[in-house]
Amino acid sequence: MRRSGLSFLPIMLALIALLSAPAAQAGSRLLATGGVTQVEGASGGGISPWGVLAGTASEGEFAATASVSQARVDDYSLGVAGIAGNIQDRLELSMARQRFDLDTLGGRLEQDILGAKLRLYGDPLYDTWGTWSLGVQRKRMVDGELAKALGAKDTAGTDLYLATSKLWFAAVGGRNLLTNLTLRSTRANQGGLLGFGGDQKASRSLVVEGSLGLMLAPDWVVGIEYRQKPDNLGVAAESDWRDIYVAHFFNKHVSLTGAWLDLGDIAGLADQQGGYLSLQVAL
Amino acid sequence: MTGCFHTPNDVVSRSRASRHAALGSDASQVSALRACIAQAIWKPALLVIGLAVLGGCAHSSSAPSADTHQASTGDAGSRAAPHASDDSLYAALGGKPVIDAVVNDFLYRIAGDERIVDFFANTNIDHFAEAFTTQLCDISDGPCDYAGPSMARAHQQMGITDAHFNAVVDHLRAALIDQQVPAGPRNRLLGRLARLHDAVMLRQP
Ligand code: HEM
Ligand code: HEM
Repeated sequence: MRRSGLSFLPIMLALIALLSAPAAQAGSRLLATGGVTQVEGASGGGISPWGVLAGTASEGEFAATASVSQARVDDYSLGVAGIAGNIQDRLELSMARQRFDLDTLGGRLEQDILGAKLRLYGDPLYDTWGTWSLGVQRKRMVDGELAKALGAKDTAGTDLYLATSKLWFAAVGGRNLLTNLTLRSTRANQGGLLGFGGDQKASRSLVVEGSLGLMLAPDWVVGIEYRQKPDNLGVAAESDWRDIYVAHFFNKHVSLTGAWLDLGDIAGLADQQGGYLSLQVAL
Repeated sequence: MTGCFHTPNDVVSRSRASRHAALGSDASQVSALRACIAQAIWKPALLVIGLAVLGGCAHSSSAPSADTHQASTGDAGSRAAPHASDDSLYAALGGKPVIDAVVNDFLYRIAGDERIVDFFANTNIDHFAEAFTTQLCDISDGPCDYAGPSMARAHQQMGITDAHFNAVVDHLRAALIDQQVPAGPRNRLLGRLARLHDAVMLRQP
């Protein structure tokens, strides 16, 4: 049986090799304050973008991250490779390629995502109201035939979101707690992998995403995420996504995130659960 | 501000490696992912997210303004003040010996950080150390009264950016970890210092 994860292995290994090589640059923002890379390439948790921007760049600094992620649930696997840049902690630009294998049904779907996230206001640590960012994700399927067959209206679409993050010092048992809330306007089916709009609903939906991260130790965070989803396709009911994750920051440059995913129904197959692993390198 | 773009300051990998051994030591606290998660966990979890965001915001808007708190003029230095109660943050931090050690540790880190050391080129370090110690003692409800210039005045026109501020917080955090201040009091203290951000930044060019 062919597993898409295998082709990511060399990249994974190359990135792991960087573990031991101390890279030359790091921003001055505190360790881990850029979060990790979410499934669409923006900085965030695993499935939802956060209000913070990628890497640890601050005023007058630049940062870049690269990541590879692999999710495997009962009947599907998803591989994502992404890069992101952060200009002065003001603007994040990202690019991601998603590869979705229908292990049981057969076939592969791919999607490219260009993202931008503008920090509008604030700082998660120093501002009462946390930090607020406005993001956009332009998504385009590589081959939209299957999506069309399921009833999708389009094979490209644009998500808009507003995300806010706030760090609460010593909030739970003396540990810091990071809270994120994201409001997204989208027509995407399963994030866009099954196209955009559908027979049931063609227009945009406003969905809510949220996550919590508890900083257990200076380099460990555990948390949960929730992502509400539209349900546009008559033949392929769609569920909200949720996960529980643990992220480890080896240093300012390398982090590894593992998660347990519950993605519900996907393209007619019920109750998809499984694991997620994501490696991020920050320069 | 030259230094900030070029110089890494990774608390984990930077100089004085031995001091930093403590950083990774909690690793074993976190066990592997538990594979099975009861369905029931999720709905309450969402609620918690909502409450944390809503409740949290309302709560924190009452944070005192650092600048007004320290509006008094006069020389830096400690004056006798009411005793710290045993359940104060000051006591939890470990009192005077620990705060002295943290400040000492912190100063070494500042001295070794080329991004920020230049700010202190003309500073009387003994005076600074004493004022900073008093500040930490006062802000943690210890038996001290910081009576130096307000944070806005003490730092006015220095050209401090968020990058510098973060670096200073990061050094203090590392010093607290090194001096084995537990996570609870450590994060409470950092939270109180984070509220001084706006005052420190108020009069930058
Ligand atoms: C996946 C993301 C993150 C991880 C893994 C992480 C990890 C940690 C850990 C483990 C600590 C130490 C807690 C302790 O000492 O008890 C910590 C502290 C801290 N984190 Fe995070 N963090 C993350 C995201 C963030 C974000 C997004 C921010 C800010 C927006 C942030 C800001 C801080 C601050 C200010 C501290 C306080 C320093 C300290 O406690 O030592 N972190 N972080
Ligand atoms: C929470 C953050 C900070 C606190 C609590 C703090 C506290 C203090 C205190 C109490 C003093 C002594 C004032 C006096 O008696 O004259 C002082 C002076 C000073 N601070 Fe800060 N500070 C903070 C952030 C920073 C940052 C980010 C920088 C720059 C990187 C900085 C640079 C200085 C310098 C250079 C002086 C000495 C000024 C002189 O020579 O008189 N401080 N600070």
